[in-house]
Amino acid sequence: MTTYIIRRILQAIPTIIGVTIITFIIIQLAPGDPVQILTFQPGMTSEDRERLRHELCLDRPVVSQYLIWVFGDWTGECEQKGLVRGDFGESFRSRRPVLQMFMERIPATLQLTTFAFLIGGFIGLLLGIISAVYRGLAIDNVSRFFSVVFDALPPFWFGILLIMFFSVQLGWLPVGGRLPINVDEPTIIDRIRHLIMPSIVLGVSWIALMSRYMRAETLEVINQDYIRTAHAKGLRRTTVYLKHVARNALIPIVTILGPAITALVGGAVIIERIFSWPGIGRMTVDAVSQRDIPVVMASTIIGAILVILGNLLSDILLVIVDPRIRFD
Amino acid sequence: MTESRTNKPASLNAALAYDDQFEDMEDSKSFSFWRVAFNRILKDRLTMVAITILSIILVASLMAEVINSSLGVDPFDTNLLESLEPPSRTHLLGTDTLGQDQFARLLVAGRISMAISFFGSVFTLVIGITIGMMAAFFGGIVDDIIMWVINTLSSIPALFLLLIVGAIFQISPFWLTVLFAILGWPFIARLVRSNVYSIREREYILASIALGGSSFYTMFRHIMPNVIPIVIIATARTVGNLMLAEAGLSFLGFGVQPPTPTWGNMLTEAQQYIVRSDARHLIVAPGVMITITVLCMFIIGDGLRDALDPRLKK
Repeated sequence: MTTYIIRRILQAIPTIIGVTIITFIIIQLAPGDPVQILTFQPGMTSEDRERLRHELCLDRPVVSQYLIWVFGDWTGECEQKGLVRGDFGESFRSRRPVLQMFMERIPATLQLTTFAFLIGGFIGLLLGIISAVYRGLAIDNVSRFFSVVFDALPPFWFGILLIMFFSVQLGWLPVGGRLPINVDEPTIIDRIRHLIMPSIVLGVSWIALMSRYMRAETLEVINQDYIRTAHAKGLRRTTVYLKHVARNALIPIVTILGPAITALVGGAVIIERIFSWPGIGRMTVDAVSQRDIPVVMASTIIGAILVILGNLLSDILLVIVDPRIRFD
Repeated sequence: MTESRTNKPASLNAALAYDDQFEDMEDSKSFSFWRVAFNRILKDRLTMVAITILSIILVASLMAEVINSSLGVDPFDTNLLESLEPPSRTHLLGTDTLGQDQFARLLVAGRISMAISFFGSVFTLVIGITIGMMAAFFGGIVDDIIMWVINTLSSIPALFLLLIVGAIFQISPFWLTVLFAILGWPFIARLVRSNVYSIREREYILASIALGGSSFYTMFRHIMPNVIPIVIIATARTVGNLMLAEAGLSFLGFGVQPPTPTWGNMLTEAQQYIVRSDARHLIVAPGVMITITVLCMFIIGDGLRDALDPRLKK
């Protein structure tokens, strides 16, 4: 198994290199000269610009620029440590290190996605099991109907509808943001009130996906001989379903962990925008509209690395939780 | 017939019964795979409802000009004196902030949203099938390189790439369609490739090669027809997903730009009036259109799956 895990990790490396190449190419193709953007002020002479260009290593051949961007400058002429050492450059707008900006925003995004993950995962799994146990009955049909509808529901529209109803109409929940702006010491209640709507909207697509998978897997397990044995032993129905069925049906679920992370990363961008959630997603959208290229590049690369890690994690977890699978 | 049969020896009766059996089969014998699938869809009530609703929306969008002129409204006609009007006889779904008729705009927007997702899917299919077949056909180093590109492209969250490209190059609806295809083909290519690999191991492929069929002939005569149904199933979902992606991108302000209406950018404009109770109709209508259309596409996708590949039905 160790060989398999090591091989899988090594296989991720070319993919990460590919991601950096694609991002670099897109930015190279973009119209506009970064030096012009940086020095957009009247006092600058063209010598200053050339010096800056040299300092940023932008006067070199494209391939060399790419290598410096990824691995840092080995000649010591320009101050770039490279992506491999966590140097994503400086933001064009705020002139601060991009990595530092990310570090400030990560907790907010993590909080939102974790909550969404918990809500979606818990409700989704439960609905899936219930659907399978009561297959063909009204509750199964209702749950399957909603899982398709929630799939088709555009998350941003669902978010707007929730705001319209719960914030504007009823005034129960805040319109957006992570914390109340007029309170110095926000209580835990305040925090939760701000979290409810965004995490539900983000979690809904999860409920749909999880319940569908869980239903299919549960149906598969329910017909196995050991479940009949468990029933025959006289175990209570709840014990059989929660202990014998659910645990075995959960095994293949780890395979959707990777795609799920992709969905959360993408979904967070739109949700954070609607609810003015101060996370990475909103920062990315803002950076895109301000053409803050270093921030945009960093978001893309970090997003891709998260997805690659998610896929890697679900592959490895599958081998660990299901000893029947052996790849090597 | 039965009467005359009883008079005949038992063996002849058996022979006639044997013939009858074939008489019954003659009808079903001529049914091709596609005909059988088509009959299955006709019997699937939910799918038929979805197809009907989608057709109505499609036809209404395609005939937008005719419908709008018969109602006496113009989607681009602004009238500030009539802004934010609630639904009425003249304006079936009310007006937006510029006094433009929302019903007329929804129809025109529907045409653009649907065109982008339908043609986006067609381009995705063409690229995906070609590259997927190439990977499986050539194998070796070509396969390795194609798989590397597929893995790389599918690990970058598509929304990020769309955002970057959308912001850097102000894109027209046509280029947005092309962009969707460029980002979407890896999924189809992977599907095609893995299915070609598994079909290639079947006995009838071995038979085709043993009978002297060239690999090119075998590929297009025997493998490709078996891959097509799987691809069609995936396509119905792709259309729905692209519609959601277009709406999401336009909503963020990086997709199709106003004044060209799409269901997504109509929502963006409406969102600004979220606190006003007289602008509710602007928020509800475009979202309902997106949801219904995407829902129909997903249901049709499920129906196609059941009809074309009953083994996948759970």
